[in-house]
This record gives sequence, structure tokens and C-alpha cells, in this order.
Amino acid sequence: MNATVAKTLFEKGTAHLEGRLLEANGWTVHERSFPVLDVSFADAGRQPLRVRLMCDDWNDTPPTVLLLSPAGELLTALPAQRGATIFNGGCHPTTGRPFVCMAGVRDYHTHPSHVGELWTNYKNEESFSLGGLLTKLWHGWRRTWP
Amino acid sequence: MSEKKDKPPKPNHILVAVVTTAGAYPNEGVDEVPINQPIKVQLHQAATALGIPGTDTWIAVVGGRELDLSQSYKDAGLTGEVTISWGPRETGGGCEP
Repeated sequence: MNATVAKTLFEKGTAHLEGRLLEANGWTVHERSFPVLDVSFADAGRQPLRVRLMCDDWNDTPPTVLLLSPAGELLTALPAQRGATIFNGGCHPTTGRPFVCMAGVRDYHTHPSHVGELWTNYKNEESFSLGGLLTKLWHGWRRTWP
Repeated sequence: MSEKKDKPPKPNHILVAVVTTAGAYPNEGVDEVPINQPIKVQLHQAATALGIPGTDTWIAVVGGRELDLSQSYKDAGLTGEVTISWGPRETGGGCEP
């Protein structure tokens, strides 16, 4: 993807991450500057999670999602999850870190278990927009993070 | 009608805002809708106004609680003023570590 086009798509896709949406969801945007979208999820009684979406080559390539502590440090292990989850505490064969096992995330499509599931089958769906992916990460955190 | 509200809704009504990552509905303020109206009606209007396709599997959350979209606000126990967060549910798992 041409970098200028990727940046334009990124800015359009993140333009509404503000105001009432952030307040209702308990989101804090730490950075929204192409190619980085860095957001924390918080809620009473649940450990916070910070995710950094690296959106270079958006949307020809899905974002890499880094799982971070609230202070912005890479998580090397995940807390025990409550039930089936998109958060995989095992080491991704490429990065060696815990990762998000969900279509629309680069680490999913490059994982040997799913390398045949092409991003091009998803990329034009609203649920796989940057906002859609962020919402899915939030719901995953909301449902299974301790 | 969309408007900013600084007072409670009229009897048997509720003030509703829908927020998504594609925008909010109404764009500013809240809508005042009948409390017996199914929640999905307002979401359908939001999808149309915001131009969001493919929302059949989306879920709505208020205060951390997932809503049954076929229910009315009253049956869902919602009153006063609510902000509904609406978006796609996560799907996935299955990667071998």
C-alpha cells in the first residue's frame, strides 16, 4: 500500500475515537498517529490492558497488535483468562511473545494454524476496520481478562 | 428528534445515544425514544445514519452489560439517559501455542 494512502485510510478509520465513545468504553488513547494506534482499556474490577496497533501498510496488511502493560511495557506473559479467549499466552512462532489469535490481526494470519486464512477475505468488512478491530479487542478483554 | 438534554425524559421515554467507532448517533446529544421501543430500532437507525453495513452480529453494551437487542429499554432495565456502545463481537482463538 502506498504510504500516503495508508496514512489517509488510518486517519479516516480512527477519526471517531473520541468523546462519548472513549468515555462509554473506558478507553484512553495514548497515541493516534500513523502508523500507531495505542489505546488502554480500563474498567472497575478488571486488570487494565493496553494495546498498540502497528498499522504500517494499512489496509493491505492487517495490524500487528502488541499487548502492553498500562505503562507501555510489552507483556511477556498473560494472566489466566476466563474461558475461551482471543488472547494466546503461548509464544508466537515469529515474535516469541503472547499474541492475539483473531482474524484481522497480523499475528493470526502469519501463524501456522491460520496462514491459509487470507486477510483479503476480511479487509473490506466494517467489522474489520481499525475501529472494528479495536472494538473486538475490547470485547475480548471485557469478557475474558481477569 | 435529536437534541442536547439537560433534563429528564418525558414520562415513558428514555434518552439514548449510540456510540460506535464509525461515529455517534445522534451526532450530538441524545434521542428521546419510547421506553417500550425495542433497542434494535435505534441501532438500525444508527446504522443507516452512519452508513455502517453488516451489523447483524454486532453487540450492544451499556455499563459493561451486554443487551438483548430484541428487548425494549424497559425490559432491559434501562431508564433515564443511556449511552449504548455498539460494535462487532470478537471471534477467534484456535492458534496452537
